[in-house]
Amino acid sequence: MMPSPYGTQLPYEEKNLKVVGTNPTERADAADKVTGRARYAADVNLPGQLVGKVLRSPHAHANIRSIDTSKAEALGGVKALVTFADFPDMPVLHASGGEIMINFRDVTRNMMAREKVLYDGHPVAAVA
Amino acid sequence: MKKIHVNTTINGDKIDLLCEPTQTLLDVLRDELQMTGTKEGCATGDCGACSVILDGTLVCSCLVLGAEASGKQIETIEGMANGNELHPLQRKFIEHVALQCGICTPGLLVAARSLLERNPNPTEEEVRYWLAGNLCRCTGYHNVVEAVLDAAQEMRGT
Repeated sequence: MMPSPYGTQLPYEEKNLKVVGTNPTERADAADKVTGRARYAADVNLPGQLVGKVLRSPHAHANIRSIDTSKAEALGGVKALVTFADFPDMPVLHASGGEIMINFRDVTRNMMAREKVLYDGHPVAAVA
Repeated sequence: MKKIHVNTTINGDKIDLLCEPTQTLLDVLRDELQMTGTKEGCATGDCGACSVILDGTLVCSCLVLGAEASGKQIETIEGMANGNELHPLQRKFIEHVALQCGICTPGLLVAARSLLERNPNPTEEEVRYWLAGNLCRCTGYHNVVEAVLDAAQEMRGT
């Protein structure tokens, strides 16, 4: 066993393995995936499931004066409705997001329009 | 709008169904027939996850109307295996680990099958160009190409 070229204390051993684990062809899900039998989330349809829809802005850049949800709320079958008012406003606060830094203030304005819509297609409200 | 009566053959089975004029073949397969093997990746004909074979031609089912299937033969991923006996392409995909999440796999398999039906001895370049319409975020395509070439060799009997 030769000394590790990485300068660590652990001894370095040459191995012939190229993949993690020793037998990748024994995956339990492989047969289902290649036959199309595997059920993904979008493939599941349960009785009584709700269907969600997002209302998106047709304007590329516009101030939101108000959002009137009364007609949607009155509609039978609408079980849930959200606008920016249902989400907390966050200050400028950074968190590590894996490959990028997340700024919570940006998230609260981008996921759903708050004071302003910023692009054609910006979510303004959602119902289920 | 009045529904359209579609009379089609899917994986060898004669199927009769009603569909809206605006429904795509993908919608018909997944929502009306509960054949969820064919996946919706983009709904714009760019990703190839919805690939099916329509009268021998490889198509994106999200770009074909359900009504267009009337009188035609459709082959989907569900028709590739013979009961529990996997198609050589399916076996080779498993052997070569040509899938991870598997969402692109049905589209890739249908596309590869249509390639080998017209060209049983493709070069690596021909395989890559043929499968260019099937996007995969997981594998990097290398194992997929190896699997297709290996399956082609087996199917030629060499």
